[in-house]
Amino acid sequence: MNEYVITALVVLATLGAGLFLLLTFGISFVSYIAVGVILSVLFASLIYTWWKSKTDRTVVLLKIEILNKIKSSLDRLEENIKEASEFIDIEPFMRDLKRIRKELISKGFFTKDFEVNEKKIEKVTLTAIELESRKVEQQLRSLESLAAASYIEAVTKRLGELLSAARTLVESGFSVSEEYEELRQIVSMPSASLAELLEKRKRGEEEYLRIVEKCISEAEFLLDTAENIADVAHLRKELEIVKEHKLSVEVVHRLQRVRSEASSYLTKPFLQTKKEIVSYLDKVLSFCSGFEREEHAIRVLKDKALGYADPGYLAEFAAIKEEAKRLTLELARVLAREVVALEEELKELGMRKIRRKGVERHVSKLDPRKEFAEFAKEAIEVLRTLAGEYNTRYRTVKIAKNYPAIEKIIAQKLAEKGEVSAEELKVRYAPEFLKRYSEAHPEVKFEKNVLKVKG
Amino acid sequence: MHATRWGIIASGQGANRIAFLYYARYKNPSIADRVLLLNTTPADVKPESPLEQIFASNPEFREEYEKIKRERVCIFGRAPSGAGNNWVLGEREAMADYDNIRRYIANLKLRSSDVLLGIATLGGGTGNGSLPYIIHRVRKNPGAGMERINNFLALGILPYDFEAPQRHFNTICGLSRLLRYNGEQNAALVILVDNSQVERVLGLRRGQREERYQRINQEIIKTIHMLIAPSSYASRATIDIADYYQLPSNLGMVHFTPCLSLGNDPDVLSLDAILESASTNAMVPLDKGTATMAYIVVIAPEEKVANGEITQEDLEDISREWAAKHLAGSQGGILRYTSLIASPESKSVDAMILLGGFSLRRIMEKSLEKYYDFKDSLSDGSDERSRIELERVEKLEKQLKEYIALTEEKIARLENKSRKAKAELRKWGLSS
Repeated sequence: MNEYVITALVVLATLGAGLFLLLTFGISFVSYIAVGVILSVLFASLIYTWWKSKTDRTVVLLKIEILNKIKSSLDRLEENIKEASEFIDIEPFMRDLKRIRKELISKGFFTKDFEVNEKKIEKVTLTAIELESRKVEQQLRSLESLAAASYIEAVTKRLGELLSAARTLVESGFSVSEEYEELRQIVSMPSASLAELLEKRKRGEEEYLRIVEKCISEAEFLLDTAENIADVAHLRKELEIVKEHKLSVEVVHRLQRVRSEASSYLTKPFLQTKKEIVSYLDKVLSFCSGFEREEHAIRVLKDKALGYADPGYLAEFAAIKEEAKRLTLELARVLAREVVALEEELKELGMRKIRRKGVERHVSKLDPRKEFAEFAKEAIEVLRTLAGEYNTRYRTVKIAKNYPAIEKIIAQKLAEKGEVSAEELKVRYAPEFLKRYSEAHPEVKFEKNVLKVKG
Repeated sequence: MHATRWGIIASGQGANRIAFLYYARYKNPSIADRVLLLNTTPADVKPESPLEQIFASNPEFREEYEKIKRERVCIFGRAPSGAGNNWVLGEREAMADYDNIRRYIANLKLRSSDVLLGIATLGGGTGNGSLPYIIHRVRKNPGAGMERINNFLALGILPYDFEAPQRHFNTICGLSRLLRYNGEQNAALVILVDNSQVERVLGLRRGQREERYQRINQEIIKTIHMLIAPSSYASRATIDIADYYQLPSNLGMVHFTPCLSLGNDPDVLSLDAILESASTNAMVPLDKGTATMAYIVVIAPEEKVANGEITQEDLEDISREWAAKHLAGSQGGILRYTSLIASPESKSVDAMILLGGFSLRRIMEKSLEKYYDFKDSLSDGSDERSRIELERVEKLEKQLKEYIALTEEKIARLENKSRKAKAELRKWGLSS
């Protein structure tokens, strides 16, 4: 509107100026000026029109964006409310959403299909659209809060039930402690909005599903193992029901029953396997002296095996056996490496009596793909050989290295009272040191762990 | 516990080598750069010439020397040819140039509670002449800009058995002056190391002489390290440096000798065996069972101490048994301290027994004849500056005799008590 007034004023001012120039300078001079002015105005108008149309388009795009945002907020809330329909009455919420949509259509912002009405919004100012957007957002927030307040109680109850069911499964002996801990963390996650509550429920149910599936697979392993001992068909039926209703907390007692009954059939094999593993690890430990890292790892594994208290854990023993094989191989490699290192030390000490026999070949005898019992039998033999070779060399190196200091002590004791016993020498490998001394000093003799000056 | 700060003053060529080698090799934080090398080398000779061999063994040591030479190397005196194996000249040069020496010592920035270790070879002239005088001055009247330092220990290195009479003469005069100066106690402790004895302990029979010197020096620097160790580590029962000198000073016996047993395998040798091993390695010749005092320092791997395999309590027990067997008297001498140090770097067990108040008979035995040979040939012919006055020598002799008599009396008293105790037991019908 203003631009018309301005244009009129400019035209009038131009005519006034033209009249003034006409009266002052005459017609010929003024006509030149008039033609020039008219051409300039025409050019300026063209520029103005181009600029104006560009600005109007930007405003329209902005209006469309705001209205699209309103639309997506409405859609999202509607979707969330529908998702919560299992636990809350969504009718009042849907009614309110419908009302908001109708209002927006009646104001001409949207078409009947709830698409942005681009033609109509050209006549509406940007400010008016922004005001409408704020109003709608506020309405949606109130609606979401109301929905969340209705939903929170139900979802807390649901997640509480899942957690309690998962705890029951852990207490029944299923190996799902880690998963239970994960579920517990999800349940204690802070959540206030409807979207957060929906997310929490979704994650909680997913984790619970994982727990149940792990329990099913554990129970199936037990049934497969127990099948050779007893008739477990009725337990398989129970498990089928569980599989059909994985997300129902009602099936927890069925899982419990399957595990408990199958375990009772497996007590004997369980105890046998446990004994087999623990006894093997004890034997391996006897070869670990001086290798703290390896010893610790084997002790941890043994404690783990001992910690499994009922046949339900039979499935875990497979993993323990594999780990035992791995640790055995590691220990054998370390022993072989140390034997080689001691060989080098012996060479440096000029001791050539003990010759290397290629200790690596002992390690290569161990094949972890073999059955545990077979592997264990071979492993003990290999470890015994390696530990023997290691101990012989270790003792020889220790004696060679420490002899000069101990030789002086022996000489002093002999000078004091003419004899020295292994016991009073108070060193490790005392008899070996005394024997070595006797070999180097013909004036003494070594008998029954006592070194004496001859005569 | 507050860590004791140490400083080292080494006078004379031999001592310079030992002190510098210790400084460069151990980089001990308790010492930092508080090492002062004193010498009377004439000005036209490079002061670092005694250290050339050390530099040749490790070029990095030359760089270390360059770092300290401006503030830590003091050339004193005006004699054109050093002290020339004459301790009187060494002493007079130190007296005349004390202000110069004092400035260098003050520059070590030691406090009265800190400890100084003086090192000198007792067979020579410079160190043997100057160190006793410097100790006396620093303890009694240090002069401007310096605090009095009572904790001034001395490490005196005795000559080889085969060395010429004047070196053994120097040794006896030096020993007397280290123990007492002008009739008063001088060094707070006098730690003695005998070159020939160290050679015997190390079993050095063959090899180049220079190489053997190096081995002996290395053994001596290990001794210094063990001596300072209780101040360097967070030990569980540190022998405080005050314990090194206060009680021996009160007893009137301040001479000690180290017995080292290093690099022991804790998996093979028990603490008993390690102490036995150390006691076979005394660094001066001495009569067994005459020592009246023992300081025992054991450095063990930290994990062995942490897991209780080696404990201060065990060490105390074992030390008590060891002392009863090896020290004078049946109760294990007069004085004993033990200190267990847990070292995170160490994989082996190192032990040092500092035996003290022992009979000096064996030391005197090896030097006395040569001492008299030289003393009897002294005349008044030489010039006044370098003249060894017989009257002074007689005084030193008397002083040392008194000291020896006191030591022997203490040893005898312990032995008598032991005998009496046994006799008493017999009277009661009990056998000991």
